[in-house]
Amino acid sequence: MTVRGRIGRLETMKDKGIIPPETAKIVILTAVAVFILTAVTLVAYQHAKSKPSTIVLPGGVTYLGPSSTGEKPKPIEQPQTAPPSPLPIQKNQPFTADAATAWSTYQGKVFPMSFSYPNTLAISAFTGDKHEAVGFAWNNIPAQQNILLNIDRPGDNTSLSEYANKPRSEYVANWWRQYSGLKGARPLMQFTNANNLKGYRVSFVNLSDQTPNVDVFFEVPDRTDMLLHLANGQLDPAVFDRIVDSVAWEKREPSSGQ
Amino acid sequence: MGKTGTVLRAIIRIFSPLVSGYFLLQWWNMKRLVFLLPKNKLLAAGILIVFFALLFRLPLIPNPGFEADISFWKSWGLAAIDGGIPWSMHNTNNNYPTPFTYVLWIMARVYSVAADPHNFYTFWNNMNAWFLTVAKTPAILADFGIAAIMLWFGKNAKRIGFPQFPLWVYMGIGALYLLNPISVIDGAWWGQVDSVGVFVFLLALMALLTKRPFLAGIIYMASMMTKLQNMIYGPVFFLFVWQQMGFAGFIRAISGAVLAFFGLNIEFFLSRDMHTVLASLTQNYDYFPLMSLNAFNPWWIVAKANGMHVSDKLLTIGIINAKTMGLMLFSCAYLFAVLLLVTDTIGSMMKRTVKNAADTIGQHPVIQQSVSLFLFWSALIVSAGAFFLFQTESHDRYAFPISVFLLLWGLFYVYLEKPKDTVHILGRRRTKLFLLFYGLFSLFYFYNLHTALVFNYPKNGLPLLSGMSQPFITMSVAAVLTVLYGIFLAAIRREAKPIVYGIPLVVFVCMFAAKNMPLLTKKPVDLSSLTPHIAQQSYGTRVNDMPTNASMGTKSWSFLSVQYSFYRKGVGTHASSFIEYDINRQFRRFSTDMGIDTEAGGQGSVVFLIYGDDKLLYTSPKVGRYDMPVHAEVSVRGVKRLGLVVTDGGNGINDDHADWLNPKLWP
Repeated sequence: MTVRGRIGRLETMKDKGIIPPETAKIVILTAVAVFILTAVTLVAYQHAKSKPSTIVLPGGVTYLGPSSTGEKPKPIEQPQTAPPSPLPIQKNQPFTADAATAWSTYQGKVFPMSFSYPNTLAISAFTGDKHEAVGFAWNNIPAQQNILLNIDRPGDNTSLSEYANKPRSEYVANWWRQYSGLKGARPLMQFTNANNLKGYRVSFVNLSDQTPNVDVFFEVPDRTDMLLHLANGQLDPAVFDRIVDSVAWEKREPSSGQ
Repeated sequence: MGKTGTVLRAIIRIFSPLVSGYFLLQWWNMKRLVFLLPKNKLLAAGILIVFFALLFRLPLIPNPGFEADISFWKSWGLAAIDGGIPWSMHNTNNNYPTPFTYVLWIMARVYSVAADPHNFYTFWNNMNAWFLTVAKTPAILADFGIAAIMLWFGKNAKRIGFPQFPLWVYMGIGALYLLNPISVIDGAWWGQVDSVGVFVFLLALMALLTKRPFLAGIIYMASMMTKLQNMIYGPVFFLFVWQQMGFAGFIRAISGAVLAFFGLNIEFFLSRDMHTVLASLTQNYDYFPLMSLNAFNPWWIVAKANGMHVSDKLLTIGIINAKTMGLMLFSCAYLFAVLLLVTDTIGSMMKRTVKNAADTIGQHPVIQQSVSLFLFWSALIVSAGAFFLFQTESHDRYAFPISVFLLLWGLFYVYLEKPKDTVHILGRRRTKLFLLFYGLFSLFYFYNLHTALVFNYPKNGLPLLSGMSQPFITMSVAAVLTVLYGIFLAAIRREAKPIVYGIPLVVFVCMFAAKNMPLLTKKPVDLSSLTPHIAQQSYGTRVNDMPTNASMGTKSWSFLSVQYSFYRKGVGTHASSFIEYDINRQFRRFSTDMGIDTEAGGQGSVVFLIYGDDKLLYTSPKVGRYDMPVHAEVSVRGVKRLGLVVTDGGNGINDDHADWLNPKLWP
């Protein structure tokens, strides 16, 4: 039957009251619309199929399907516990040592210096360090960021070159100038320790007007090009003071580190 | 499939001439078809609108559209049905909001009913018609949903404060949307879901206008989680909630949004994996650090029609880079949008305090609500337009919601011209102006969308239009779209108080001056406060004010330090590295310290080099792990590009964690 014939038949049905007039119109319209849309869509699909196609994979690292072994993806494993910390977990409190703790002496590997420290303090030196830095891990701060003692060479410090040949007290008083986070220093306190080393005790002021650390600089006998620098931010003051008092320099030529 | 295809081709060949022949024969006597139309003209018009809307969309479904997006959806949807939603987020490069993965899961599930998603050659084929159908169906349905909501606004106009125009007006704007080439290209052609985001947002508005703020909050969050760009409408939406429903309604809406946030992410919440959710919302920041991602906006002009290849870290005026300038402009435009609503709210509160306010001021409460809704739509359009035009890194599709919001705004624009006459609409001056404006916007924005599609997939566009993508045309269109935004701002000036324009302007001037203050006061600028437009290194990533290992996460954060000297400012990098800043000839001197960071192992050794416009200005001595920082000061007078290079010192890149310490530019 032709389209004209179908429409005529619907009209007849409408005239006979079999189909309500409005409903008939809607049915006819809808049927024609569906017919046209289906035809157009099929043409479009056929046209698309005639075009060359290709595999298009998403960029980057992403999922393309299960592995060739046929294994299904595993569910996410929930961590059972927190990953082990590389350092003992400690609250932010200073390191202390009671009176019963034994003390050892640390001998410099490069320079003839020494100092005492409590056996419970895990100190570390760094292979190849010509500044002989000694640090210790505490409060989740690794040793390399928690330096107790090192050799400070004013001549190497380009930020303080103008103070390199000035009196040591002046160099120490201006030592903070190399750091953008520091803005000044409290008055220096000159002293001599138990091993007759001349030292300067100073606190540098940070941008928050705080002085969280104590720094000690010792002049080195017969070596005007260097200072022994100790810093404390994590040790109980009594422990630090005892370390400072124990610092010694033997009057012998260094093995290297020139 | 081959046999079926042959049969289908045969059917089409037989029926196509019949159908077309029939109508051709009737062409000379179309009156004979009129009897088919129902007496209810609205119903007849509705059927015709739906028919033509489908006629424009269905044939486009097999077009592979934006093939990269479609293939990403395949990957993420497949992962979702194979391993679950959270697994999918963890094992793909899915960078959409987490709940959208449920939509992708549904797509893949529906696809797997008719075809095997693990059949590599069928599934990943760009002409995979069944997947294209599944992927584009949500957007097409949303198109019809948006038109339906427009009709709903018309049917409930009196109750919700919309203009009480005849229903055909609302059907008309629905038709304008459905038959708009913008809506056709975005969903059925391109394969994106912008219309889904707008549809859900309008549902939230429906809930609000029917006094259901809690539900409105829930649906708004769903819209944001469907299309993250809806986030920018949040402040405007909730401010409008406050205006309409008071503080209690505002709190209810916020509660609904919070509940929906956790509800839609319940799988992640229960598995204590909310950081994945937060990452999905934030990881796209600076994802494409470019001037314009094929959005024809002012940055497209600045980049000379090369927006996808020009960094947005280039300086514009003074030391403000393009990205910051874009954010400043967008922020001020957004402030303008917010102030539109705030001043309206304060104004209506003050009117309520005056006895017999309506009589005194002569403004009917219904009109007041219309003004509020007019300003609400205005605020949304101002926000969306600024998001598209002013921000760098703007996508071509970011202006899509305007094609809907503008139609709804137009109702009020026309209505407020003559509030008492809701019948004679077509002949009005504002109607003509609006239709002209909307037509121009549709035309030029469609060109933008089409050209962006063709830039990526030349074969997937219209033959004639695809050849019209020359730079001068695209830049002209960018200029036109910007001018249209200006015209829009002028059109709402009557309802906006001068202060609404004034405050954002003052704020912009202040931000501009503050950003350029170092230049004005001749103070040094920390290099780490600037963003390089090139940053490459052989290990890790560049980090400001921390060594390079800090890029591995918060547990690795530490201060920059060289030989136990700590620095607050600087750039942590790793050899071999090349970092280049646009300093735009604004400085005369550059000073810096350099060294191997304390976090490095003992083998680290590097050489630092400083370049100005590709000319070598400084070479450091070889610097080792246990060396003190070295210092350099170089003249950069007249230099536009400052290049910082770190080489491996001749012994490989092991342990070469190199720091530029306290680097400063001196004006």
